[in-house]
Amino acid sequence: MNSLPVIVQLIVSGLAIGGVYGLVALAHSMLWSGVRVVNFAQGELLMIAASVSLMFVTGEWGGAKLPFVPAFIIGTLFASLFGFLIYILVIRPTTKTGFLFVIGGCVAVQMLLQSIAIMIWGSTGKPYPPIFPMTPIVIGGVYIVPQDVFILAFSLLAASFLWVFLTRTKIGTAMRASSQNRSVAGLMGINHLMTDALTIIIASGLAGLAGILLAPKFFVTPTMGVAINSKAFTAAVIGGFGNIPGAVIGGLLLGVIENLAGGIFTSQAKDAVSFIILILIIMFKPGGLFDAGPGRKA
Amino acid sequence: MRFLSKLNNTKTPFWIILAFPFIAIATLLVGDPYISHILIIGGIYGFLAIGLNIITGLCGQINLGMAGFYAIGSYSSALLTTKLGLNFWFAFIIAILFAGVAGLVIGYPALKVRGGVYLVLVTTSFASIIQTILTQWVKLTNGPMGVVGIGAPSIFGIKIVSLNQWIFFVAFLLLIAMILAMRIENSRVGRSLKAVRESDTSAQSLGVNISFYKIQAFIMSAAFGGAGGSLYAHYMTTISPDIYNMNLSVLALTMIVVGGVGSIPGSVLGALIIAILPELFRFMGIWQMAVYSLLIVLFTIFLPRGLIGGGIDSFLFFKTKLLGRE
Amino acid sequence: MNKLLRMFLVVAVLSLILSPLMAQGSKDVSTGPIVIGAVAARTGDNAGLGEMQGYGAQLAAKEINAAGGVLGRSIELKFEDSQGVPAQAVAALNKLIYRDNVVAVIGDAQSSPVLAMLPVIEKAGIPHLPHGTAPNICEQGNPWVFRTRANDDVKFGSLALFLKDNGYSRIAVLHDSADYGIGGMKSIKEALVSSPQTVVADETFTPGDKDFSSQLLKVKATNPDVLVLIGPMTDMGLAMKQARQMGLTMKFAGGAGIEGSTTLDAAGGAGEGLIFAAGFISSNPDPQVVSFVKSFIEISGGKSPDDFAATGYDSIYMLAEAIEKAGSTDPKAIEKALRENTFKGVEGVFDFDSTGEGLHSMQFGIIKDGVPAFYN
Repeated sequence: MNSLPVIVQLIVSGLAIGGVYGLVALAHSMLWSGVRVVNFAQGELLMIAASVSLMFVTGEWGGAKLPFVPAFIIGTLFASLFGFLIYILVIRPTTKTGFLFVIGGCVAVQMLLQSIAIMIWGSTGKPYPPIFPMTPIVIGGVYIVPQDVFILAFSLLAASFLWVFLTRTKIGTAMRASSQNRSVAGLMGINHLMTDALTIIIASGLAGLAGILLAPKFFVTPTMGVAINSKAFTAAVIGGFGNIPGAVIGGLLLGVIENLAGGIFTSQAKDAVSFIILILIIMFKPGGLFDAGPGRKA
Repeated sequence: MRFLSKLNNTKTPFWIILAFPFIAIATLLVGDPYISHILIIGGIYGFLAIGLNIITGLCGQINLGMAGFYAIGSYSSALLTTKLGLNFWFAFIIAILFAGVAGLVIGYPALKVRGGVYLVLVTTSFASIIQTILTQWVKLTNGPMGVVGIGAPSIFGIKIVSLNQWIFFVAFLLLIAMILAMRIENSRVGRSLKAVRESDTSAQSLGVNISFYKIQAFIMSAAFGGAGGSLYAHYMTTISPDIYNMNLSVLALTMIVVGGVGSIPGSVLGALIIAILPELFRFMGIWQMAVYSLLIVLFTIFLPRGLIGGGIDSFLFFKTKLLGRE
Repeated sequence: MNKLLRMFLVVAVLSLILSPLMAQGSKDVSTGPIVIGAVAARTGDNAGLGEMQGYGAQLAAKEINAAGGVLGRSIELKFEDSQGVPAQAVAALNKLIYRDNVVAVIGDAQSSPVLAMLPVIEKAGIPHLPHGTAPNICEQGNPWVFRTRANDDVKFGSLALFLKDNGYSRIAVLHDSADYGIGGMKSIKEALVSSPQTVVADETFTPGDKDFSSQLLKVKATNPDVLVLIGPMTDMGLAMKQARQMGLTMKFAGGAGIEGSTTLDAAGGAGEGLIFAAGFISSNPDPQVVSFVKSFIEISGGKSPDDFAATGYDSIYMLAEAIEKAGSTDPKAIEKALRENTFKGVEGVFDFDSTGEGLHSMQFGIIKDGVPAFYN
């Protein structure tokens, strides 16, 4: 049973979903390091992007049937928009009051968005046409689905683009400066509002993107974002909350380890794995795998 | 009279506390099962809310794991009465004790982490683990099929079966819980908890043993949650693991936000409101939950001190509102 | 301003709290439309179940009213949302009974809320047609329960035996860890108790989990000739899709619900050849079924009916027939009529026994060219 092809197969399928966890975890870490907030309703951004782009791909809305790429862009933009709105309308006011209220507000927003999604699109869910073929290619006894490879590649590409953007461009550097030391960055002429807004838009867009990537593999339902977001959150903590490369690595690791545990041990182990890793990290390395110091205060 | 003055240190308007027995009596008189059920559930939720307020409102530690304590309370009580034939009151006490132990168990890891985000993760993981155990340990809990036919409690030989009896029962126990919690709040323990809430470091410099009080708070919080869980099991007569999920923990959070974080009577008010609110919107059909969640969002943004402003920092409010002084 | 606003809010909320105390519906049920209540999750994770049940029931009511109603009165449906939460299901039920004065209630679609509703039904004494399939629903001794679906023992037990009798000697099972999956697995094991070696794999997943690669690899290693799937519709469809992607070539099988369009859509083409046990098969040439399917597609905006839809439809029709036969809306009379008569619905023939089980056998179908057809 635990032959090499099986292990490789488990790793390969784990990487695909790990890529998605990584993207969403990245979004969380970006928000935290840049703007010091957590958007608990991030999963719904995934859902919005997937649902909206689906509408355009199938031509349900006013008959405009678009090819994949424009629909993809529109979906991602919607996610950015909603992420921004949630920040301005809910997260910012409640952060002043206290973290408890941020949680309360975000969770209520989650419920609100899900209810509205049910009203617009119904509750049973719809399939998303795949971009790449879903029939597997067999390499040495291992079944690889092109769509999965695409998801992984795209996730890594998006993460690297982001990294390049943040380190090599002027705006990106400004965003990083702002996150490291707001007051000094301000003195240097960096506009917080702009860098904050950009951070939120990009992070929310990434989350939405992850949703669209995931949609053909899974299914578009109003609650599709909930489980992914929660795993991604764990992944972000594993990699060090606020650490961007850490988030991606955390996501990939979580995806692979989960799958391996489920394959080698029992299926129940698969669920337990994320808890166990979380508890281990919190107990022994609270800052996550890549953080130098203790966990940051909220 | 001195007993009463020890209860409320003017954080919350006193008439609110009197309102609850009034509501209970009014419901009894009307005798409509629809309302009675909602109020009973609201009252049971009150235990959850009080528990959460102790750890989060008074002690400042965010806890999204109340569902776990609730579950332990429910299952302990249910299994002890159905499988071992124990009397309700024994089962009730033991359920509270077990829940308290759970509070101790979660308290230690909770001490180690710093920051709201990590506390959220630890407490939610804990509650998930509890739920998973209850689902998988089929031999003990009957797994997802749940426990059916949980018996009714009896007091002085009278079985609590009818809705009216349950209203009395829950209101009575809830009143005791409220008084207990308020006395804790206004005792030295309570003051230490609040000191921890305000600032870990300054409390420490004042000689307060932070770890000790945080764990105490978790244990107390768990005990109240467990009590509520036990009542829930005996009222509904059937329980299953699927209800003790994150949604329930979040519901408890909304209760204290709506009622007033840091205010014990506010907790009960919040619990009642959360139980009643979705019902008020039932006539909206498909819009029911959308409107409900929108309202909660508005509450978190615009009314962080809770509906009657009994929440944290309400001292000023109370003075201006009810005593007419600026 | 703030003071006034707060005072206003407090007064408003308190009066809102107290106002339902005033609003009591009229108790006269002898004239006007016959009101039937329907409880199911309409928001939350399981909202899809409520949607299908709703369409089915609506269609039935529409057709009955168009044909003149029952005892000269029209049928009015009241839908309530339980969100799949037992305490909410009870609240919804209370509202239907004590505010809307319903003569009967259908639903919930999930067993956990149904179990919580049973004591209330017993106290109120009105007929209850639940759609949950856990066997213990009818084991509580409640005389008002009439289950309009086959329970899990019948469904999965007969499926297991059918598979064995048709030459499938290596059966693997992938099921969820909720009461549906665990109960279903139990029924399969019990049915195959005389030849336990037939079950070669028993893998679980959490409902809502969308990635089954580790479980499927384990199944693959046991080399089964059929894989039985038990779980939420979407999850089962995805499992089938992923199984094919991982090179699993054996046939799939499942119980009623798996042959619905939601599952088949999620499965992509992988649903072809799926064997299922159901009361309701949408390509049944029986004219009653044909007309049901056609009208359902119209009323639901293009969705084809599944098991939940069929149950919603049959429940309303059965109540209407029972009321007609009883000649009144008196609960005891309806209960008597339901138990003493047999009813032909799109799910098959219902004959309620003393415990309230109505459907005692299943039909077997196979997905051919994307649509359910009879197995032959």
